[in-house]
Amino acid sequence: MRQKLRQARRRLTGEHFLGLAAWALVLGFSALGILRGVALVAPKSPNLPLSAVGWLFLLPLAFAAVVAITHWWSDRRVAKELDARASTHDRFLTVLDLSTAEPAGLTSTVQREVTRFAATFSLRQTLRLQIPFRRYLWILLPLLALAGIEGMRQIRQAQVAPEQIQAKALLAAVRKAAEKHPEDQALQEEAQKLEATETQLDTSLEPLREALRALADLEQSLAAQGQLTPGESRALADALSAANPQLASDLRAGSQEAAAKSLSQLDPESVAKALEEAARHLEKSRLRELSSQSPEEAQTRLVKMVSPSGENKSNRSRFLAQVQDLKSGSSQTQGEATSAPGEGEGDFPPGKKKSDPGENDQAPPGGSPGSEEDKGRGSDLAGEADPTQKSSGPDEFLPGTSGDGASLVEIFRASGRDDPEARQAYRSAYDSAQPAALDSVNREEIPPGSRILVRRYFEAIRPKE
Amino acid sequence: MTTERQSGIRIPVAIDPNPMSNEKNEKLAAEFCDTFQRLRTGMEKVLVGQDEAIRGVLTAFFAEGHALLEGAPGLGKTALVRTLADAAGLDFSRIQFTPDLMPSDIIGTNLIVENEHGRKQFQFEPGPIFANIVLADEINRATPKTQSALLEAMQEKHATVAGVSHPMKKPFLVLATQNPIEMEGTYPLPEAQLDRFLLKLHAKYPSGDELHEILHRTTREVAPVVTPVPMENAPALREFVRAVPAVREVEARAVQLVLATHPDRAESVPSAKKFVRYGASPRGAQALMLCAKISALLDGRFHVAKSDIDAWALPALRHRIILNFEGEAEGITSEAVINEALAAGGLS
Repeated sequence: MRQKLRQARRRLTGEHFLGLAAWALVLGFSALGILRGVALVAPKSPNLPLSAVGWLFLLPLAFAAVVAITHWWSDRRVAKELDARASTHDRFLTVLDLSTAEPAGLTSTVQREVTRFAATFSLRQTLRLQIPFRRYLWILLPLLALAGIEGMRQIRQAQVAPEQIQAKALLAAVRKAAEKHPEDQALQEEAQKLEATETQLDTSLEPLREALRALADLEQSLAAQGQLTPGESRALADALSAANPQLASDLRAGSQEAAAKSLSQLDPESVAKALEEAARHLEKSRLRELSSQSPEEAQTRLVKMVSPSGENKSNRSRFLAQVQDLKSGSSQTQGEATSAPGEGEGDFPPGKKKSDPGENDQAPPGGSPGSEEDKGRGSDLAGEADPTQKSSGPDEFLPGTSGDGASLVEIFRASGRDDPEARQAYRSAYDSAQPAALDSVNREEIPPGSRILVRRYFEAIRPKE
Repeated sequence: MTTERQSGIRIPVAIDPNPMSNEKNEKLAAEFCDTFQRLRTGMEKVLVGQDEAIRGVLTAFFAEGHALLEGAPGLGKTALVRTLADAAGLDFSRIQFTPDLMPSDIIGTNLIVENEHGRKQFQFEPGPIFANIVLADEINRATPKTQSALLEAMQEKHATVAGVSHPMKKPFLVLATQNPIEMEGTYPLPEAQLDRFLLKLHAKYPSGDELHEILHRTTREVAPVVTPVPMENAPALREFVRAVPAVREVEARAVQLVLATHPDRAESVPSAKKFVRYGASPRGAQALMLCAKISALLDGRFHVAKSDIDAWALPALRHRIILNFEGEAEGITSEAVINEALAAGGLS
């Protein structure tokens, strides 16, 4: 019997917890919805951190668990509930109460009978776990699904936030570069693509990936068009340092004119060797492609790549260096990196960061623009209680002697049964006189044996339908 | 071994509180169920379609109470009582109540008789009430004075004539009938006297099939004979019924039902507040509990459940509720008030 009670307690606690947990989830989602609404109406309101959202659900669930456990802690309450739900005929409650009382009469026999009953009693059929709000599942399930999707979106958004900041900085750099160089068709096209993807950055990681892919394409196309990248220059300088230290230092210093001149005077074979050695360090570099060509052809192309070709090329190389810098690191320089290449300000050597990591971080804050004007909820639609509807208190008997008051005398011209008008008039007269008659009968002390006659009289004079 | 003090004599009771007597108690319970069932089967041989009334009368018999049977003429009320007497093998007497019936006609009177020495002396000549089962037919036709004489015997289990108390036979069961149709020349039982009846049972009108069966049994075949059931152990069985325990929570159900019928109690239901003049008396709660104990034993249990109490709410309380004139004028019945009380308690 005790074992059945323990099993019943577990089931009842679980069922109670499920019910409360359902309410907790509803409340949690409601609170989340309210906070989301507040964030939309008032953008300056602080964003709820993800951990707080978690607590918004975890705390009510924990509370539900505690309430369920404490509620069903008492054996007596479990027994009472079990008896109320199942056809146990108060067996469990009786045995519990009898076990605390002094043994008398049939106590032992009752316990024996209940023990036999408990052995065959199936809790599984009696206490089935009930799904909370089962009637309203058709409404609740879509709502819960929507809320779940919104929750997932919030989580993803929180996860992608740092990357979004980085991506936005990159996009800003590309945008400024495109503005400064409207004649560069490739740059304009890539900038347009990035503009299109920027609008979706707030919601998912996919546009960010697209943006990064577009940036990579842009970098590749810019690089293919012309000059050596700083990395390629460095690798080439290292390879040539033994054969021609001056050329190497020119390449490192960015003296393109001198470097191109020295390169053109070099032996094609030594240039080919230097290219081969530099290509070993740079896997996906154009140097490898050059090294596979004939030494003369490779030297000619290399000279072209090294030689300066105006401000446009210089700006490109500076932009590429800046993009590489951003990609490798990095939001650390994003505050200043948004300045356009060739603009004059923020002019720094390729590969060198202007500011310290983390300094002047001007990343845009989260949130979305919206109206700060709160119009409120308006007047209370529920209204107030109407004092005229209140009960005026218990009925009172008025003082006076029966028969002294006004009397009701009406003459009917026909029997109520025959004439509809007379019947209506009789009903009206009966309704007027009934309260006074009941009042009078209630006052009189009528002998019990005669009450049936009074009752019959009143039944007889009642208007018939 | 527990004992009961009654009339100065300590009567051994069948219930043994020793836990080792479980088998004995179970045997006694089985005997009770068997006796009840055999009586019921015997009565059902004669009576058709009165299952509820038969169960009520047998319950009153084992609860040592009295029952009031109400029903239209010809529904077998008298036959029901006579059959019970036959099935139980007990003394039976019938009193046809009429307006000129005197108390002495039912209780008996002192007659002057001559003894063997030729001396005259008073000798009590017992009336028809001195039987095990008394059928008070159409009890509402007798005057209140005569009714009171019967009801005193019902309550006190003895009758006093010329200052001498004469105890009734044991068991003593009065089964009164009354006809609800004819009210002319009747003296309806006062509520205080109605309260003495443990149960008020309705003899219901038989269905078509049951009427066919009645015709078959009464016009084609020889009237069935009821075999008497041995009742030697009946006193022990009655004691056993009273020993069935009910925990306070279950007793509270009976108390709540009774209090719900009172117009001026916090527990009262709305219809009681509006239409009831007096609610059920404490005897109502006693009746509920006793009948519930019998139901529990018949169900194979040794304890009372709330459902047992609810099952007897209507027959045990319907005659104890007095409606006010508003209730009577509105056609409200005491059954409606009881049903509302049952529903208010969560079980119906």
